Amino acid sequence: MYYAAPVAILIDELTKLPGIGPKSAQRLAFYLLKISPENAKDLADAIMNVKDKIGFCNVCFNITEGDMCELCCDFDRDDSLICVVEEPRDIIAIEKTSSFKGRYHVLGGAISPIDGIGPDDLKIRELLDRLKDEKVKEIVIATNPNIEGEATAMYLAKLVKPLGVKVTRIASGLPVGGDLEYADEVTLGKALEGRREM
Amino acid sequence: MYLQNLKLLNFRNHKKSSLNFSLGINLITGKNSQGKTNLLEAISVLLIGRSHRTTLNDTLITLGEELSLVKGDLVGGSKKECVEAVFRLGETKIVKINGVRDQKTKDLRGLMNTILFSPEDLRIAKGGPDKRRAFIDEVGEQINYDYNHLRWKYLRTLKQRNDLLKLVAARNQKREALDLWDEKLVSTGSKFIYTRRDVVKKIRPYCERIFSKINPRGVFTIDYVNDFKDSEDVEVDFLKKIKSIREYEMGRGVTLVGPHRDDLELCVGGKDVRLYGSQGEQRMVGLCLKLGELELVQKERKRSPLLLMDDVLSELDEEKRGALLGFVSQLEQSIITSTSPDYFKCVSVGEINLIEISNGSIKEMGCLKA
Repeated sequence: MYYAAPVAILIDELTKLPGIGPKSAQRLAFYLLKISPENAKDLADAIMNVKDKIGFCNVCFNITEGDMCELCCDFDRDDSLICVVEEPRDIIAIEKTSSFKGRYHVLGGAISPIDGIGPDDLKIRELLDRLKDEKVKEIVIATNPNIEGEATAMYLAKLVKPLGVKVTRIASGLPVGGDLEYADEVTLGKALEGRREM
Repeated sequence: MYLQNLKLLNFRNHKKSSLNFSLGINLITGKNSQGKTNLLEAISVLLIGRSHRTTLNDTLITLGEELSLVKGDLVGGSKKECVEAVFRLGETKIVKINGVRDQKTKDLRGLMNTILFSPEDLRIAKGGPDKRRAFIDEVGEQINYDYNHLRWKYLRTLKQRNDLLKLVAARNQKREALDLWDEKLVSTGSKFIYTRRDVVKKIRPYCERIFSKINPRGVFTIDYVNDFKDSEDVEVDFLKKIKSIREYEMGRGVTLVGPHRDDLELCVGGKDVRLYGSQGEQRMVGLCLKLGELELVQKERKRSPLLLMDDVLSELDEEKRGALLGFVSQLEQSIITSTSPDYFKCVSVGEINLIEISNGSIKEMGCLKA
């Protein structure tokens, strides 16, 4: 044991965070040892505060402070359009584009038997309940373009289409502002597949 | 393009080595366990992106050191590209092209095709089907840029489905959950089958012709072995099959049909060499597959690949050695290891750049006329 037990426990806890390896954890731990007790308490309070106050929106399962998230309360948004994403952070990514003015629905992951996640572990039933409302005309599936995300999209499309709701999938292809020659073969191939008439 | 030079730092038994290569045949000689294969392995790690001996990058680093470096210059026409691979203990490999970091080995394949030929390859016909699948994959990834992505996608989908089969068998998931993954497996699997079928179709005539050139009396045939190899619509047949054996698959907990069970049927005179061939015939088939790969890649990519040959000559008789060297002498560049330069005495292959290696230290001996 190199460290006193409390330090070792702190490093262990920090290592559990995503993107933090043993070395970064050690660096953070030693930094935390140096800061004033007030600063340390602020950090601890901030973490506890988040755990106490933040929950999931009753409607779309985005993170929120109250029962319903800001986006679901916003009257200016288009009720006929729902964008389905895997995680709350995907909403932030799409909101930054400011080109989507509909509602959202967070599934809480993607279907992946390797991780033990099946359709019942996602908020799919809740999505179907929302679709019973006549107002919804279209859902945009914005799950990740990997195997699990594509499988989830396929699963959703099968369930939703019979309800008479239009189902669309976000396109994948070239990044804007990039050069064709720098695109990797797979992305460029996808972009060619998804070409459209002008 | 050809490999002009190579610098090694802490790579296996090479503490610090540097050597130049010439166009044509480069022969590395030395006694056993002096570092000949390590040298070829370094080139393979740099240009193919993987070692033929290990998947553990840490074992490439000299024991007791923390960092290993392989660096080489590729020259073609007036262009010169400096490629570099850096290994640190416990970290992933870093590839740099002209000093710029790049994580994809397929970009190196864009610069140059490199093919490694080791004694293991002579045993393709004898070994398990995984060896023959690996051969199709190796050819496929060189002639089709999309191949590896397709293969990776299929294997990932397969793993998902296998895990689900186990979950369903243990009643942790509903049976209906399989429908989705059946469909995903069939759609990625069918594409993969079509691609592999195409790869085999392309390489077949090359290998068969080379065989009859070396052995005019024999007839060699290659066939792709897959449940749906003759199917007009793989997707339909695949789905039908997978639905029909679902109960059985749930019992076994693994997917039992699909391209992960592919094989190649290699026949000499109509008989499967794996079962009926002599050792000599099996080696001959291995040789023809490898030479076929070289010819096909050369034709498809419209440039001569770099051949790395690890101690293959000692495994062949004089006739096959002659045929092999005749082929090698036509390549733009080849780097060959052998315990003795004598194999080159009996055939005329032009000039050879001779490199001697002893206990990790390298001596350039200059030109040898053969």
